[in-house]
Amino acid sequence: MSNYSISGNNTLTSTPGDTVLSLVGITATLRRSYTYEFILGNEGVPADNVLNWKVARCTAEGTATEVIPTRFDLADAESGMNVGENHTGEPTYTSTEEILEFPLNTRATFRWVAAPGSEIVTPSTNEAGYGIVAFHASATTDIRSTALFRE
Amino acid sequence: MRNPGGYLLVIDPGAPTHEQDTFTCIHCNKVVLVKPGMAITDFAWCRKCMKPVCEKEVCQVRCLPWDRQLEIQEARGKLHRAMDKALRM
Repeated sequence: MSNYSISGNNTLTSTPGDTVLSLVGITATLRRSYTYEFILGNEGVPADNVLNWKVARCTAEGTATEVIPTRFDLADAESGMNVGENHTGEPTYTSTEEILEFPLNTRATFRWVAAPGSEIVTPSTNEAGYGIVAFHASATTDIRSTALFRE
Repeated sequence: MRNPGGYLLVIDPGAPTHEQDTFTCIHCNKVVLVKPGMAITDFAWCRKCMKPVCEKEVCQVRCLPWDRQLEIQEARGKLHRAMDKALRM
């Protein structure tokens, strides 16, 4: 299995928020992905605002700027996943299927690492995957998220 | 927690670094945060999978591991692709 890194940013909006990063499968190169690390934070001016972050499953990617996953080993093949950032059209999220939800101060950085066997697994189905979204009632800072996965 | 399924780290310049164990629900793949000092009896457990599950009722009542749900979704996707191909012929 090969390891990849993806990163995306967006400007914060109010509920339901704008997706920062999404990872979905595509028909041409269907395979499962195993996400084992998330790094989330604010890249704008620090302030004492509490953002609501959510990582949730989606069944369609929406409209986004394409991101090419970075290979850890250049000898590996390119990733077969479809990754997007800075969404202008939201993914189709599945309700009640949040993977991770938490509040985070804009001054803080969040990092989650999975133990082997506890990764976030996406099915090898077209347009199935997850998205990372954050929102706040009034703050409009820029936010960034990074995810590491293997497939 | 012994054998946690994950590790969470929150770094805030104005506060002490916050660290917390997590585990991944075996039924829905949700990441659950473990409060320090929680006992094994404090969170739900699937006796078939012998792994912890999240607080959602559907995960506690029905044993359908996430791996099996992936297989079902993938089979459904394969069927849809085959049907699309057949309709285009």
